Amino acid sequence: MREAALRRGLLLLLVLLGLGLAALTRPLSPRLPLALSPLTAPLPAMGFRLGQNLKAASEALLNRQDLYAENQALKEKLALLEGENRRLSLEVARLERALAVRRTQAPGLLAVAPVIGEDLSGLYRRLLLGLGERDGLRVGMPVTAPEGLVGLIVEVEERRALVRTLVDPENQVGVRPEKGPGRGVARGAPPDKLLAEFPPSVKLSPGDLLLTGAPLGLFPDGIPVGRVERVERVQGGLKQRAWVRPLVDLSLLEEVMVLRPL
Amino acid sequence: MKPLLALLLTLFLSGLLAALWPQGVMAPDLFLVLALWYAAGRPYYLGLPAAFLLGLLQDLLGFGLLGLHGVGLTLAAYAYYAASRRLAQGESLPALVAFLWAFLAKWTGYFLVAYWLRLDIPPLLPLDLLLEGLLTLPFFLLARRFGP
Repeated sequence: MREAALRRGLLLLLVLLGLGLAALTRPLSPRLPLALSPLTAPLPAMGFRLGQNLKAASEALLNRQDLYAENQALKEKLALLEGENRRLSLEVARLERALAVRRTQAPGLLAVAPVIGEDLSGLYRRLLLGLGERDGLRVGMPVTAPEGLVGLIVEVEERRALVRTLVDPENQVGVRPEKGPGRGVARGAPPDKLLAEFPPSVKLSPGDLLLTGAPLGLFPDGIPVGRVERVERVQGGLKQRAWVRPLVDLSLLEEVMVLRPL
Repeated sequence: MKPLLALLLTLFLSGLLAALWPQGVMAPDLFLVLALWYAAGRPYYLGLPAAFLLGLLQDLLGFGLLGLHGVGLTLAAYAYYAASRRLAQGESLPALVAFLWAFLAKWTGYFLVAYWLRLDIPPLLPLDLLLEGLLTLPFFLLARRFGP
């Protein structure tokens, strides 16, 4: 009983002391704690500084991780965009070529077909296209490139088509000089030439450009075929032969334009 | 020696927590833990004045009103003594109840000083008080394991 009274008494004393201190030092707050802080603050200040350093270190670490992740994400995005850019550039180039063909060679452009294979047997010069019957390709359709005539479709499957090129020995194309009158027929002369025969009255000289003409009627008129390299007289001067180099480099073709047949 | 080390550790940890603790969240009251740890197993005539002095130290460190925490921790220690006498010793549940009782007494002390000085009561939400109690409790249980 006595101990309980003492305990309560002590409590009361301390509470009153606290209230009294609070009331008395209220005008001095916060000057008094500030003045006494050199005595009380060093150890908490050490803890505080350590905490700040730990926090800064963890933030730096987290930021670094963020930057790393962001960098990775941006790299992936960049790679994606570069791929897309390449694809679009190729698409633009393809469309530009198609446009050039449409503008310069024929309005009857049917399709732009990828070249997926080439016959390099040495005797035949044929190209395999990645489009076929289901894409509207038919036998007899002329095939061109922006540089000039490529050949003629001679076989069609559902998804592939075979092109007999200008330099194929079975190929014949009616040609005419760009700058003068006269008609002739050019046959393929593998591996990379055409041999054109003209009447002796046609004026030809090396460097002349030959265009498709009407005689065989398979190709639209006016498509560039090749340039004359050499001219020779044959059969006692009754004919003249011209060795012609095609304008199209078949080995570099990646895409060709397929035209509607005449 | 042990109480002095505990005091130094409390001072250091309070500074550390102040830097690391997220803004706007009630931090655990390590001085309350220290006051209760010291009071446990010691007579009231040591525990109560020690709690009062610890409170004053807390006031000084917080650059606040002298006596606010002093009164709060004194009442907390008194409530802890009262609860400990009535509850079975050495078990977890009574220790939890004693802590809760002391925690409420501490805040009663704060409000008493605030009322005494006609201070504006800060807009504390009950959730904040509950959070402070929940965050302080693990430290209190940890301190109990080391013994008084």
